[in-house]
Amino acid sequence: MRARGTRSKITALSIMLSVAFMVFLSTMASIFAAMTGQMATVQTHYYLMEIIALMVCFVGVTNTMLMSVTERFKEIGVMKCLGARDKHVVVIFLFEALILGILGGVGGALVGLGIGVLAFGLQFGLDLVMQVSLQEYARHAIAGVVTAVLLSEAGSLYPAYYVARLKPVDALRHEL
Amino acid sequence: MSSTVVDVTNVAKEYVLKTERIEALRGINLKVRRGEYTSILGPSGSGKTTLLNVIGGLDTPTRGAVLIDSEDIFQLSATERALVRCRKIGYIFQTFNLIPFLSAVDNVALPMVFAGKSKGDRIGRARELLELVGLGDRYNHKPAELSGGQQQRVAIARALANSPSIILADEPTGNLDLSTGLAIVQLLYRLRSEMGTTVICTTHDLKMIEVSDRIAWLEDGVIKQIEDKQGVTLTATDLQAMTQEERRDP
Repeated sequence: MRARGTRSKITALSIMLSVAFMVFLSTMASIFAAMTGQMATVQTHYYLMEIIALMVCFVGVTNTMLMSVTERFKEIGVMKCLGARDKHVVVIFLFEALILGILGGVGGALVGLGIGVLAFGLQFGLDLVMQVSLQEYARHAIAGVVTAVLLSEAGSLYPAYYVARLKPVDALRHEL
Repeated sequence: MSSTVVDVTNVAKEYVLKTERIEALRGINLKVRRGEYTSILGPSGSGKTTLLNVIGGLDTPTRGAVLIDSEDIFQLSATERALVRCRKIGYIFQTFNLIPFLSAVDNVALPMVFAGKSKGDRIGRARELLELVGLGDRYNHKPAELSGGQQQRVAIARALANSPSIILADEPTGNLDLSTGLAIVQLLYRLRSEMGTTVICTTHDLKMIEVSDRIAWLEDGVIKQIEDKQGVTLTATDLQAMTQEERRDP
């Protein structure tokens, strides 16, 4: 529905990096588990790192969405003049977040899996990497995409709500 | 249906900037008849834009009432006001304000999205309107690929999208040169007579006088004078001649 600029590419990239990191960590955990058999201890450690990665991603998305909203105050003002209701504005932003989440999530999952499998495959041989089932890799990837979408929507909720409630004149008067 | 489409009664608007209180509008009374082309003239800072914003329900007045088709728009909720804007009001801005990443057709179709029209209807109507404003060959151009005059034509088509009863134009010629501006104003005037739309237009541009049915002079937030076109003798053609003479005179 809407084309996007450079800023959106950066948002998608930041989501992608966080998800890539998260998926890489879980892939690594699976491979280590297959290698050593010491699942529990290794994984608590990694979960913590994942949580930190996701928090960084969440703050990043909220920040970029807020920037996106500020950048587009005027556009939103125009839309409100043309009769857009608050829900239209919210839907536009959440839709944008959904697209960014999916793009960043899929990209991140692929990159994370790719790096994980490649790095360990090269280091310890492909046999070890193959010990982890395809389903497990797929589960990591899907978890990555779902997290990306959830994060991106959660990060956009406040900015979208905030901007939708602006008075049309205030939005319109805003010049950058 | 009453012949008064916009009825502004005793409208005042005050702003507070830090400790200073600014009265942008000080008791405006204005009745606009259906199908009329009213120009609001006045110097910068006289409250023209504020008045237009209040009429369009974009800004809330401190006092007073604005009736559109006998309905007080400030008794409505913000959402209901947005619906009134969507169905009854078309906007034209000085700076065109087209959405930069949408093509001409999509820009014109945008208000119809908010009105809940189907995609087929939207595109059909948008093409019709672009044809009407003389941009039949520019459907898929982005605003950046159009000249100022062309952008304003797209904006006029957009304002007409939901067949509004009123068009509010805030200095529509302010960013255009004299002849392009005149063409825009004449287009507005022609469409108004063809579609029976009421036009309220703010300007500090005297060439608007030629096409106006009525002119309201605004000064310091007060309407000093309202007169019918007959009472005004200066026409845009005179004005154009005058400007050209000025140009010739070094």
